[in-house]
Amino acid sequence: MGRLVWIRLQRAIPALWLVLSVIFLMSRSLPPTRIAADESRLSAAPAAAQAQAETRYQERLGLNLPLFYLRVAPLRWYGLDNQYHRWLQALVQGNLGRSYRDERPVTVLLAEALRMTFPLTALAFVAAAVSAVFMTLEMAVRPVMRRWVLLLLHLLEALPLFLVGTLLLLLLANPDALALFPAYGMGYNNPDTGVSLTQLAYLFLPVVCLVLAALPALVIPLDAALQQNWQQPYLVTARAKGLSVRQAWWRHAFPNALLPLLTRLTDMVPTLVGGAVVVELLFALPGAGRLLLDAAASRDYPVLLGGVLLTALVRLLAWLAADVLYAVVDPRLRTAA
Amino acid sequence: MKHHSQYFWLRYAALTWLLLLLAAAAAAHWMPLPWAAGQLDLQYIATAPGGTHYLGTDPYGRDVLAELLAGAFGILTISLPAALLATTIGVALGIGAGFWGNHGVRHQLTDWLSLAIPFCAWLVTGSVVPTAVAAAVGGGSCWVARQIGTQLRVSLPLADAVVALMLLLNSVPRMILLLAISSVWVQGPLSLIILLALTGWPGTARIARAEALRTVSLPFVESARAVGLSNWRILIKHILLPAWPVLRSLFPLNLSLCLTLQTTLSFLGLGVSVDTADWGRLLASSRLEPGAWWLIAFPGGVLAATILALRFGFASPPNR
Repeated sequence: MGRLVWIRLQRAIPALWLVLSVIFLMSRSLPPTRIAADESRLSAAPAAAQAQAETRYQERLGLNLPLFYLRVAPLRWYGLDNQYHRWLQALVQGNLGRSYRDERPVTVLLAEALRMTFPLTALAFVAAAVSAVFMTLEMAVRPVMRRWVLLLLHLLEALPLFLVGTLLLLLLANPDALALFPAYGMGYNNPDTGVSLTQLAYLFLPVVCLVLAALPALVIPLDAALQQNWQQPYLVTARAKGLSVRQAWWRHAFPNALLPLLTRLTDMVPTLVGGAVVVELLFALPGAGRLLLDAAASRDYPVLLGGVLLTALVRLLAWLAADVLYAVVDPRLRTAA
Repeated sequence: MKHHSQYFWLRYAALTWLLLLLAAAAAAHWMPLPWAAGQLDLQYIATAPGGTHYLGTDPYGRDVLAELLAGAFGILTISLPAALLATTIGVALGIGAGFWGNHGVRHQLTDWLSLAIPFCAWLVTGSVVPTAVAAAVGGGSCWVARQIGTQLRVSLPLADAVVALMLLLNSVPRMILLLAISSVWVQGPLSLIILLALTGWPGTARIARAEALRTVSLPFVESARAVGLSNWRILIKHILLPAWPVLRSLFPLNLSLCLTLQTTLSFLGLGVSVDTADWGRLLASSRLEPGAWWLIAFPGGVLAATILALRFGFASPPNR
């Protein structure tokens, strides 16, 4: 198992480094933005003073250094004191830099945003997993319902998340239709305590939105695996010896269907984080997805890179968790790995 | 029997819808509409559908019908080429990786060198003359080495390279990757097309690779080899052609994914630019006017119909 984890890390960490490096280099190779142009205080100043201010600004952010170790065509070597090297050094030490917008450390911003996103995605994850299992069971018991639910799930899978969310808002949080749930924000949010119990009503629609987005990918394969298993001799035996459908499902079919379900669940984690971007915008929640979106819209690259790193780490952790859980759930895999 | 005719009807409806949309998108600029896309009518801001504006207006006073048509044009010019490109790249890389594997592309070391030497010369000097000189000298010496009888064949690890690229693109969710890169780099429609295509091919490549791997070990490919057909002929006639029905059905799927991502990006306010008409942007503008059902119903309905038509209009009938 340790070897499996090691192989996974060996493949994922270079990929992570490469993706982050590409985005970093792309972001830094843009033409530098002029700060002086739109600040009225500076634009009145003489050109020399403006240029000086520009130089100071670039020096402060380290933008005056060469971008990379070398350039090609023609080849030139710049040495170790370059933007990329400094960034990578800081990254390895766990320093993600400071936001261009408010000079706050990116790690602090991410931690603050996660306090919102973590309860949201964790609730959605648990709700989706539990409802997927029970839904599949109900579908197995009631074949007529199964057809309709499957159709609905296929429709849901095809529709974009933002459309589903907008429809939910239109129908359930609209003064003209049903105003069952609060639409925006988190009520009186105390940033020190995170999400409290009274704010659960505010989380209801966002969680439902995420669950609806995640359900098809869980239920459709689980149902297919179950239908396939239903013809297997061990389940025929289980039914023949007098177990009810529910008993046969819980005792015999479910443990066998658990392995593919685990894959789907761990695949779902990054989707939830990605989906959180749309959901947090729709429901005006101050979470990590919203932070990432604002950073992208305002070209706040340190925060953007931090967000990408965070989602990539989440995906990596989900993969590792899957590897470990596989070995726990299925004894056959322990010897193989 | 009933099942089949039902299915036929659905497919017919889906195709009709897509053709209508295509025609509307192509003619978007020449339609005799009372309002042009992007034109602000400040007297009717967020008005319900009626006589002046058939499908209502958004909170800025833009005509919803005109915006819908312009959005369809945007999809025709961005998502469609992006999906075509993504499918092509995916099929080429996947089939290539499956067919040649890690040892299929083998050439003489001298051949590789005669390509690598001028490239390195270009990297170092960055001008044309030294590159040409290096090409001549390197190519010549490689030719001489070959004549003397240097026999060293080196293979290109194509399959490993493709799998590594897929892993690389897979390490970050596609939506997040698009979000990050589009803020860094996207300046126009062309860059969005390239971005959607370059992040969208791995799904197609995975299936194409599996198809090629499955076919390449079948007896008819072996007999084609035994007859002495060339690699390219086997690849096209005996690998690509049998896999074609599967691969062809991936294109509508890719298109619906590109469509989803394009509209999601502009819903989030990123996309090509804030001023470009898009169904996603229209839906986003409904957040400014919570009671405006027409800002959700029309673009949402059109978007849902298009995606569903793409998803289920081309799917093979389920064999239940």
